[in-house]
Amino acid sequence: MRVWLRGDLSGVSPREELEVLRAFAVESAQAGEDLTRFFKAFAELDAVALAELCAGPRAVGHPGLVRASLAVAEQLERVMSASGLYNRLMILQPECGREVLAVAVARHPASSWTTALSRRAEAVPGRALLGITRGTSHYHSACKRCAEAGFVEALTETVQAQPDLEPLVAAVHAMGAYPALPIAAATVAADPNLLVVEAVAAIVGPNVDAWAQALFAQTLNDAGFAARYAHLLREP
Amino acid sequence: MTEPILWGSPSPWPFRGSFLGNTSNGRQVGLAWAGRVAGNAPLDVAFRAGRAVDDALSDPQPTDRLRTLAAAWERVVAVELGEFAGTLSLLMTATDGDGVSITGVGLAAVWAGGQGPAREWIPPGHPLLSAPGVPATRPGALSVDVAPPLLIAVAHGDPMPTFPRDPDALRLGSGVWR
Repeated sequence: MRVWLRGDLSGVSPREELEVLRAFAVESAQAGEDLTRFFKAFAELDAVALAELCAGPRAVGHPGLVRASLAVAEQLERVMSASGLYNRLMILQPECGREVLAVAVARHPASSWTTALSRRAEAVPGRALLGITRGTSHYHSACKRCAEAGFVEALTETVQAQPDLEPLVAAVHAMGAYPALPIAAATVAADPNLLVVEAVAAIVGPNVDAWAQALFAQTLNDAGFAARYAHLLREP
Repeated sequence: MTEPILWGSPSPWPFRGSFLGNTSNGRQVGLAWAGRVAGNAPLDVAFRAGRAVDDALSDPQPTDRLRTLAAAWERVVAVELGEFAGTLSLLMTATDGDGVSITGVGLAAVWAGGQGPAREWIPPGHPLLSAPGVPATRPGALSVDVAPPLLIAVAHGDPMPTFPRDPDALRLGSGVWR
């Protein structure tokens, strides 16, 4: 059956021999064999049977099996829902959570379920979603979804990597001005020329003076930033 | 005091160029305002324009209700708004022990709120409803003995919203927050 590992499944009837194939896959994974070519050939032959093996009720949660499943994610998604697939793989093998998430986000950067997946897989939820979408047309919606999910730390991180107002605007819309203060402070630290106070005023309302003072208290290392607003803001 | 608020524009930046405030001259007359200017300008330009009008209105006011509004208009007219002068929407109220005087420009509607569901308070065609812009001549004022606690204005050119019933939600939708 070594030929199976090379992707030669000629003469195999997947549905009839599913238990044999499952046992082979588990044994090979446990032996440290690479199952990618086996799974690719299996997917071409019968993607439904492969989905049963990878993510069905009797699927085995071995890292080798999960990684091979990710290699045929496109084929598996044709026969089961994407969110169901990645959720199942993550449940089967939490150790591979970040790898599962990375593939899920890369393939579905605009899907809302990736935030729930991220919450389960990442120490800093939202980090992968924002990292993968940064610089793409999906970044805006990724910021929005992370803000709605309350991923303040990831939004704070991403603004340091790409200084712009996008994460702050999303956060203020989703959670209000005060909960977004850490993101505002990170935005100022990343680029003090960004119109942080003006943007927040335009989203929540004009009387931002107390909020701005709270922001200045967090950006003491940038006296120039506060000075820029000295004549525009009143004592709260 | 009757509190004027201006409903936010239907955009990702609902309060760009907005301003909102009140002042009083001792206990005799209270002046309150809500407005928007340069609502389509870049964020920093709109913010500065709004603050400029706000600062002008924040100066101490005379002691008489109508003279308070007249002085307020003088100060607004004196603000250098340049190309954005034609974009001003403003609702002002002056309150004293005898009643309330109301004036404004650039408003499409003024509704009453704060006591049950918001209801239309100024009928269509009333002189208080007008095109936007710093007025060439001082607008008149509507004086009443009793006014609702909240007056919600909709800026000229904005679509008519469905107002929430809750006064706090009305304020939030008008950029009043803490």
